[in-house]
Amino acid sequence: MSEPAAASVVPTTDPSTYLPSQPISGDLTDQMLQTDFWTDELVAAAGIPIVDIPFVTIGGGIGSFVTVDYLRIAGVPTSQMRVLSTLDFPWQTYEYLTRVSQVPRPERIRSDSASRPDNIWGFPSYAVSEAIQKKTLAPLWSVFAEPIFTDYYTPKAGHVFENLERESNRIAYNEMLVKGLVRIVRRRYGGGYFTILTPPEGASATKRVAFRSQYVHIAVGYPGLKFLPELQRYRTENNDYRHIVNAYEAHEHVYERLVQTPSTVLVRGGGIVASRILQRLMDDREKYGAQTNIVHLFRTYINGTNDGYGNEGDARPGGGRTRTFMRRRGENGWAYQGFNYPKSVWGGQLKAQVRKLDGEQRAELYKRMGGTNTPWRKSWQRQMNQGRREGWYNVVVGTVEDMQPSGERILNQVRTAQGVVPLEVDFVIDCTGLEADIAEHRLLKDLLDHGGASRNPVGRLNVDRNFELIGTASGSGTLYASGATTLGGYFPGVDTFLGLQVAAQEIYGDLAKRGFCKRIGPVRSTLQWWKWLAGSAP
Amino acid sequence: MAATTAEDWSRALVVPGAGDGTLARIGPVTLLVGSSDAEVVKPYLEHAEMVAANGGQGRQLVRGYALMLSTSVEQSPGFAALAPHTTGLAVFIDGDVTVTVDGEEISGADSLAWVERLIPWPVGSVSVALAGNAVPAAGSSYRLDGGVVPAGSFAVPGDLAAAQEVDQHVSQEVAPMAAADGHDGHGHGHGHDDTPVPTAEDIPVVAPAPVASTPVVPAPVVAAPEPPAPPAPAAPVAGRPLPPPPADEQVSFQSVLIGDVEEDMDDFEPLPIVDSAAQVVKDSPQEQVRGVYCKNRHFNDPRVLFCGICGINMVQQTPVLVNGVRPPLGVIVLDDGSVFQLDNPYLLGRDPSADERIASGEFRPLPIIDQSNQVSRVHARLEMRGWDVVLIDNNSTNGTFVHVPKTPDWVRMPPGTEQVLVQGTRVRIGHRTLAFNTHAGASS
Repeated sequence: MSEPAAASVVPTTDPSTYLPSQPISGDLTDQMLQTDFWTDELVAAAGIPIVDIPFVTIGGGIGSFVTVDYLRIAGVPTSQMRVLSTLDFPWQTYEYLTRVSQVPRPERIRSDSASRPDNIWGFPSYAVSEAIQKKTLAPLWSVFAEPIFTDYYTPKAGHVFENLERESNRIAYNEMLVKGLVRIVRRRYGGGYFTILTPPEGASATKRVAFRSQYVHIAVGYPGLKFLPELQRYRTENNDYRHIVNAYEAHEHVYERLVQTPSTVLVRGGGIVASRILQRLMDDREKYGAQTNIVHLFRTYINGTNDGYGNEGDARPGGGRTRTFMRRRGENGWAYQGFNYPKSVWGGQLKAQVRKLDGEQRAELYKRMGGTNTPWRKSWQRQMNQGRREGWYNVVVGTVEDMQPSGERILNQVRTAQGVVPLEVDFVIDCTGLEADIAEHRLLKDLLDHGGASRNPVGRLNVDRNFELIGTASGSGTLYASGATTLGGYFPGVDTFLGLQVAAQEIYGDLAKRGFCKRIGPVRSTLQWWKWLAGSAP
Repeated sequence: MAATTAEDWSRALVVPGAGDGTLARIGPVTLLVGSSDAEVVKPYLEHAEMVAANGGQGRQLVRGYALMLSTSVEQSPGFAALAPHTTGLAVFIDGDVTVTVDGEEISGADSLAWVERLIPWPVGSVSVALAGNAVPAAGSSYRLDGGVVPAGSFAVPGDLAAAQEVDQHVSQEVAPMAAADGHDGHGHGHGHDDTPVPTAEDIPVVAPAPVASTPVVPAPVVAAPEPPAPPAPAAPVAGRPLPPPPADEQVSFQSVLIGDVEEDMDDFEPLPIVDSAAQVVKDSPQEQVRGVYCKNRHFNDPRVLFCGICGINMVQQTPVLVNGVRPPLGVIVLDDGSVFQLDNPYLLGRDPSADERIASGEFRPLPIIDQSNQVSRVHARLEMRGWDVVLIDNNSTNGTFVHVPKTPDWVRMPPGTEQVLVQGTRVRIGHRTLAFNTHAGASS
């Protein structure tokens, strides 16, 4: 083959160039993909430009936000950190998921007053700031009397987002944000890591950009939802997206239609989302006079005190019943719990207990405190009772074997204890939020295959007490992870606001020891809190 | 006979010579590749086909091969490609191939990269040979009218002798065809009036027809040294030989007893009666859009956060825009609760069924039954554009009103304008309200 430079015809780039486009340079090579440790030369030889940033966080959701917030307060300038994300603002995914699962901005989320991702001190809490803002004592009474005399106080979604926005402006989050898709993180020969980012098309000269950094933080959140296999099958086979919907996608048309035409809806699942969907259906009945019949399908029917293994009498490894101090209330199929974890995981005896456990024992405790549950709320309970009394709310226990279109309706074959029962409804709302495995996430799978990461007893990423990913150290560099992908570690409740803050605090502590940031001592803490209050940059 | 225009060239005679390369003649493009390995030859052939399909422009040929050689090809087997251009014949040579045009020899072996030339019309004889292969002899009886064959060289003879030989070939073939063609004797009135079929008797007759048949002739005759023979009679003869007419299909007759037929008839269900084409609804719309695949190979809008089928986060895979079949984009819920799935465009109005676009199957009707007399016959239409649903007002008398969520007021669309509908948009026509809903998870 002759030298292209000696060409007598210079190839042009005008639109009439009709050959299929050639891959532009600056892409990952096979050699790179197969190498666990990358040298600077290897990356440079592939034509990928290298950017030096000491700390990068991948994900750009609330986990990344809380971590950089901590580090900013600990005195790290924005030039030292980058957030690599496809999101425009940290609460984008969170807001989307809450909105479609019937928690729009004016509704209250399921998180307590002190978990403030925008305020590392948790003071003043959401209840206090809401009371001040609205000049009312109701929120204060609520936090004072909860959970005995009133329901748990929970902040409004809109209030949370507004405060996140304020804090993100204060710490100059946008200066640190780099848009793009992170393809891979690999250890660097000689210490540190390479993070390969695919910027949006046209944003950079090359297809990939490499970030060379000493510390990498991964907070990519849930790998995604996993719609039920029968839902996926129904959609692909029948090309019908409107009769069967998942609670985590926009499905407003179902409610529109229900208000206008008396119909029957099958709701599947027994978690917080199912209770939100039911509440929406019942609210529409009350407000707009919808004549909706609700059939509620439980897989496991909870009829009394229970824990993560199920009802009192259900089988448990090693036998036995629920432990007196580790059980929750339940009735009518539901398991009730104020938050998705028992409150003591954030700062009580459960936190202390899990920190000392390893292997199977830890997995066992996780199982015991886990399980699907939902908070008990007064108005919702009243509506449910009304439905049972008036006969428009019915419960079925079983699993769906098959779903087929039947005219404009859906024919479900439900396997119950009494055999397979046909159930014809107009709409199916699936509220069983199955989570995908972490290996579904490309970045995490690569870390498991090539980065030295491993799985914990629960099957997620194995992190140490300081949220360092075990087995991924590279020279003086450290790889941290927080959020839902690390569930099952020494700290439970990682996928909550407060859990993310606990993780961020541990990571900050580790980084302070390594000299990356200053320690937040009493003086700095006080000073920084006043700056937070005043809204001035840290 | 010399080729004086691009059209002449595409009708020229091509004589293949033996060898272990691959010769292709696709329309006006002629390509000789020094390899008989199908895999090696394939990219060259594909490009030649593309150029031929685009009309066979020499410049396109040269640019394409140059780009191909400078980017993707590792080891070139050596090849030569020829295609006509408005001002001359484009010749592209790479590797050890020799092209001789009117006695002038051009070799790719002398050059580091490729060689490309534009040889101005008229072009006489052309011969191309791979290294170690001889140019076919002057009297060769082989010829290639189109297709891909094994060959080591080929020649386009420009001399009269060759042309006359072709005459005989052509006339022998064509004469019976003309006779079989019809009973009007001369083959006229069969769609090729412009190119009278030459017969052996026609040769000495000066026929101006071919010149007249080529509408644009830049008259290069002034400068061009003509070959000794009068060119005019040769031109039609050397024209692209016509393929032999397909023989009449022999359909053997089979007689069946009527009684048997009737028995068979019982097995058939009567076909449904369809009054108009609008009643025929395609089960699966096949319109193609640009979208991305999720990790589990489900096709999605490039703007969504989560896959619409399996729910996986779309960040799991680097988005690559590809064509795919568009899934339904959402639904329209009328205020009486009727639901219309948006996989086809709709015409909205008092009586949209009368519109011919419904009859042609282009649109589906969405009747708006309203007592208010404020709905036009065809009031507005809903179209799918990429991944968007667009509402277009049909210059309606009483207007189409739109309420976008998070905005305070209903807004009347200016007549004839269009609007992209977002999740939750409400549309008011007369006294009826429609709501647009989509499951697509756009984040904002």
